[in-house]
Amino acid sequence: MKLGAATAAGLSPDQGPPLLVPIFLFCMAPVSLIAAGGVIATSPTSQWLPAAMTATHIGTLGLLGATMLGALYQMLPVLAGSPAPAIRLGHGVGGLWVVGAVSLCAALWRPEPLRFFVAIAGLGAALGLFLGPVAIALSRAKARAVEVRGMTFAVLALGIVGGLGLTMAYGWATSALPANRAAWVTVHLCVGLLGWVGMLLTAISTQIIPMFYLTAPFPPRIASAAVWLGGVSVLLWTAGLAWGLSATTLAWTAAPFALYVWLIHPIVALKLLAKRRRKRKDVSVQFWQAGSLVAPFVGIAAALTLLSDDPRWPLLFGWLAIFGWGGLIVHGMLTRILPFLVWFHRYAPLVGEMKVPPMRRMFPPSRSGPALIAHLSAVGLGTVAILTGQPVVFAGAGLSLVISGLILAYAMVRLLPGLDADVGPCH
Amino acid sequence: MSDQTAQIHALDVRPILAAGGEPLGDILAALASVGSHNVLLITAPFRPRPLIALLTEKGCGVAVHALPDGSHAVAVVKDAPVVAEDLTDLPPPEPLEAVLSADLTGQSAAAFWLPRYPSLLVPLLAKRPLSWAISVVEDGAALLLLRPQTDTAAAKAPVDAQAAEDNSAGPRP
Repeated sequence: MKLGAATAAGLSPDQGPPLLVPIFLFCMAPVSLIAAGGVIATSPTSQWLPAAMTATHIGTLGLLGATMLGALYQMLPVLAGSPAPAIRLGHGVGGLWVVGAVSLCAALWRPEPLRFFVAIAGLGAALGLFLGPVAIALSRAKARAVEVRGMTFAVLALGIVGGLGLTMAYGWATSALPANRAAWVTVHLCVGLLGWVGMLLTAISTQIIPMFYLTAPFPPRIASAAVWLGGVSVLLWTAGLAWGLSATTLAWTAAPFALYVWLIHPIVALKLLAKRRRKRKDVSVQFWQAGSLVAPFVGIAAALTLLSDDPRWPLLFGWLAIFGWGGLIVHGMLTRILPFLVWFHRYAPLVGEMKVPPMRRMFPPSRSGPALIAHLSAVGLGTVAILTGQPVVFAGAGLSLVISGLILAYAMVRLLPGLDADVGPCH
Repeated sequence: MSDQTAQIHALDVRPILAAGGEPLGDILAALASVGSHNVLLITAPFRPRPLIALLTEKGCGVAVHALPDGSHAVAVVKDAPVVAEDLTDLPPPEPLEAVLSADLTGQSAAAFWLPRYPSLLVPLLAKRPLSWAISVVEDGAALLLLRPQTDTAAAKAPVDAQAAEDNSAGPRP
């Protein structure tokens, strides 16, 4: 029998980052949805290649990347018990990330060396300021659970994908792209989509899904094996590029982890969500379910990209992976985590001392529901547009994405302190 | 240590029963050593209905939490007929909200079953005139015992003397 009072361990709000650090990064998500939608809706068919490259990087850097950087800052103290040191650098990370991402997208849209150099400087500095403190935090983490290992491998993948991307941007700027460009692009894509986005989403979901949606725990053996598989895969792809393996060989080595990320994990997630203990309507669950349902089609599109020369398949693969699977899940998590963060920072200390609004009212289904419908419409229309090549359908997809971003932006503005009279404390 | 300090004592009777023993004597002895308004947290391989009836008759508050393997965690609040509020089916931040909103006026103790170790709640409790103890059980759920503090000094540092001790009966997320 053990005798003792409560452990004093706990997460102080002071241990988390200042609210503005993740919020600023999260704000890039709606802006990116609007920008990507605008590019897709307005680009003429003759410009489809630069438009696709631009929309891809708006999605990966703005929608997925920035949100995941903010989420990592927030999750490190909660899941790893180890906050990032020098957290105020996070403000600089956000600002530099915006400068770098905008410059890179502008450079891909209308190539100019200066734009590439600004992008390299901005994104390189942002990555450096982010990776250093986060790596220190992860090395100090006492917990060695699946999600912490997953975060570690994901951060490693971010460093690699960033290094590869910046090197290729330098190649674009100086007309000196690597000779084996296809292999570079393949590894950049595998490490970015699977090693960084896939690893972080799947590893974190092992905690987030049971915690937020009251499901049974994620099967620990599957989660643990997947994290190791993903970590080894990232190292294998990087080493394979250095060894001079072909793009096709490198792409096939991604198959095992891709199978987990886009088939096994979504099936497990859908089963857990279907059996959650409390089935109250929650739009963020529907975002998770939609993203998980899209995931197998990402895998199919990836396989078709490898097996066929049809140029539609890589386009469809990128579209479904970035704005379908990843975009829907990230969008959904924003509708859940944003109100939670704002509520916790603003109202948690006041609970019991004055009447405070419930968190559910801060990001109600009347806002997240239409955003989900618009986002899903965009994914569906974009798929049809890629398969049929009809400009009017591309315009519809882009417009839907813009609407989805506008709704998210409106909901976020309403959440920010001082701007929403409806959710102030009731004195 | 102030006698207002909340404490949870853990007793796992499964090994006793597995060895063919009778745990009632151990339970009553453990309960005798528990201070008034504190908790004896018993882990049993089944729902111990006769024991629950007996302890309720003795004026204790009893709240049972079923574990996935069929075992049961039985929280016994000594000399206080409070029943632990079950908040395990609430998503965050609702358990935090429910605990901090609880009216402890006139109560000597309050107990709550939470879905997990309340990392975000603990620093908020520290700012209130409360003493608390937390014990995490095998499925990750946590039992929280709250006791109002009238002694200001004790309220400011309710767990200093024992802060290094982990009162968890299981893994703490």
